[in-house]
Amino acid sequence: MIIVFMLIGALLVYLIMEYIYQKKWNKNLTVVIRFSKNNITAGEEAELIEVVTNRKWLPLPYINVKYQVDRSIVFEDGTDNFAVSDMVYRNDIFSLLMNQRITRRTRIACNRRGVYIIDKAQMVSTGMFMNDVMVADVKQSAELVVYPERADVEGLEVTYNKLMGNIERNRHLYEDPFAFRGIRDYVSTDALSAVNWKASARTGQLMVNQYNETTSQQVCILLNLEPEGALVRENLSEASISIASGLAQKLIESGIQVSMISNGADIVTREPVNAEAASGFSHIDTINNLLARIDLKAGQIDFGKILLDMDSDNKGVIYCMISQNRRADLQHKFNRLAGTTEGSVWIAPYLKDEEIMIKDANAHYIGWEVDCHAN
Amino acid sequence: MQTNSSMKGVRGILSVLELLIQCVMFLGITVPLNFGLLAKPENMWYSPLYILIPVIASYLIRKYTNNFALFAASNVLFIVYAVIAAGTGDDIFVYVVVMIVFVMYATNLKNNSIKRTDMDDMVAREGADTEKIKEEALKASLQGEHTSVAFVAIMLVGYFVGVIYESNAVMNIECMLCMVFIILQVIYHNMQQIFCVYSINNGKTEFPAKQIKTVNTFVTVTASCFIFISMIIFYNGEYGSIVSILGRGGAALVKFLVKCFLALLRLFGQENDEVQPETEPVTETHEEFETEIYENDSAALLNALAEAFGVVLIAALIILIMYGIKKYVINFNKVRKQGRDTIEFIKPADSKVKLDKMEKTKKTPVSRDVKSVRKIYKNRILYKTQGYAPDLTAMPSELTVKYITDDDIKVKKITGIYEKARYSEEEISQSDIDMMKKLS
Repeated sequence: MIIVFMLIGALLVYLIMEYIYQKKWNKNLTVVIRFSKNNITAGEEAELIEVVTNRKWLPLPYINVKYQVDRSIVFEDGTDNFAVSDMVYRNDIFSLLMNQRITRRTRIACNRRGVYIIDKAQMVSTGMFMNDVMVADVKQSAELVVYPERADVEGLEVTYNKLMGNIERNRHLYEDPFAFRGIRDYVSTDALSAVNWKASARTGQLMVNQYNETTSQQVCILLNLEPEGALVRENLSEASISIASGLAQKLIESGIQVSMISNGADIVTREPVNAEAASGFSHIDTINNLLARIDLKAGQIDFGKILLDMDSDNKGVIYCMISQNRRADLQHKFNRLAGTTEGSVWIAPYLKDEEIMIKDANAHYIGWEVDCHAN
Repeated sequence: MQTNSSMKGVRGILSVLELLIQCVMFLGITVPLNFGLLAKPENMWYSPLYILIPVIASYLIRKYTNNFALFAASNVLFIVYAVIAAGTGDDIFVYVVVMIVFVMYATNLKNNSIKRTDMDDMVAREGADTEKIKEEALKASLQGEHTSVAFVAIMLVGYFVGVIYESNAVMNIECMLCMVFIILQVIYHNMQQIFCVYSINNGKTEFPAKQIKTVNTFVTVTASCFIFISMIIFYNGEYGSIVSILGRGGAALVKFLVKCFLALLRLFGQENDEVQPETEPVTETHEEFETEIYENDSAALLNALAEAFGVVLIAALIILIMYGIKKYVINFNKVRKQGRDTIEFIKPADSKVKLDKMEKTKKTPVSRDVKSVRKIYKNRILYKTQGYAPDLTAMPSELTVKYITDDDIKVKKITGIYEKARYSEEEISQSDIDMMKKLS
């Protein structure tokens, strides 16, 4: 009977080992998926980092980590390692000894603006003898914000120079007599009240005081993502967002306060994305972040209403509207708003060979040709 | 990550394992037939081994040639070989029957092999888009020469043949063969699964083939060790159970060391005459006496071989485990790079938990003076509230005003002393204690 007992012993140990694996395989087993950067600009590269930690005395011969990401994310390791349909379905294989951690880094690139979230992953184990299939879900909080690509630099220069010219002119109009900046030579256009007589007496020629502006100059970007007609042209909307991003960056870099009002809905809250006026480099990130979060599929509220609700007595603010939609009532409302401040600009993205019809009144209109095949 | 080369390696190991399993299985048939049914003397220990030649030859023919005529001819030759190997007329019938069984088994395997080739051809013809066919082809290729674990029944039957014919040698050998068969099956099963994983993921650039091989080798060896130990625990052969064998082995080792020590003493010293009589009785045990009898008996050779095999296996396992531990210790704290993977060992979870617990239970020692001040203050408040807890959100200054005194200077002083005792690490002076004592 020895041989029977031996076989029973072997069977028992086999079953016990399998049972232990079934019960303990995911104890102290963690999977963390994250991106190497919190934000990148469209076209830039980053890394997707998967960290699998097995903090126990039980080796795991075969673990599949499954998760899905938006197909806009391009993986460096080619398409052999995952399935692509509506999403990219990753299925990464790990094998860990006891108390071991494996960190896998995969280079990724993203050409589309947006917020890419990995909120859950699945761990699949096949047991000690690779006979079973055991599954466990793991929550993740990986988020990559892809900022919009900056719009064409040449096109931006024209708009930027136009806006800056207006800002410089307005600066002169709204000087603060309490914010003394310095003294300079008198020129014929200066008012006599500006002459500093003491300084003139000392130097022997007419000198005038210089003052800082009353308030910091502010540009408000009005981003309208409503399509021109019934047909939604995503490339025009994306171009509008890129222009807003590029312009905001350029203005903030010049020390101008920039605010933004948009009818684009946030991908999570579904509320229109707006930014208060601010300056400083962190504000570039704030605006880019907001622009990245716009979900074009969520629809847009009527921008005319937004323009109507805006305070028309907001002196010192230069408006820069970016709108592919050029309907008459929108033009009318924008003219009313732009009438309060000189130098407002309307940038109108349009597709090549498209007729652009805007009645010039209080604002400058800049047509922005967009390649049909863009995006 | 070197999937193809790893696949070749695993395929090679699988081939060797298949051959070994078949050898063990057919030895499981021939051993009881030779020493049981045919009642061959045990000094003809080599007689069951005749089956190994056809098993190995047939395997090689099946595996490495597609020539069916050669395979058929080899089968005829094997039967002729069985007749020659049998020698005497009595054995021919049994040898030929065993060989016919083997030929049937080999033919069945050959048929599977042909089916597998057909499936591969179909995949080649229909292309890679037919995933189902590809999967079935993979399954068929994995099933190829696989011997089911159910064939362990052969050893079981063989063991009972040994019981019927009262042959200890047959029983011992069948036990050993059973053990080897089970362990080989475990290893084969795991290697087969690894091969399956490699095949499915073949072509993936980031497939961690090396890591999978390392971890699975470890898991397979560990599982095999456990299963082997679980089987050997129940083993109770000619020399007793494994525990007694190991005990006797240990005693023999000690005896050997003592002998060496005495020899050294004899070589260098003068005291050997004194030591010699003390060691003499140790060598004279009952077991040793029995061993000496068996040494001259060639019939015990097979049993001794089986026992020796078991002991060697255990020794090998111990060495393997020690080697594994050594490798683990060496690699601990080392960070290795494997393709895009960074592999590192981390500290076990338990130590962290213990540390946390220790930190939680750790208390800052409080001096007697501090305790005294706190107690006086508390008692004074409770005296006024008649034992009820005061408003727990109230500050000490508020409590002092409400329950002790409304004199501003005293309030400041008493609250200050209490706060020092309760919240700071400053020492309490004797004057502070006296001041508090005046309250009560």
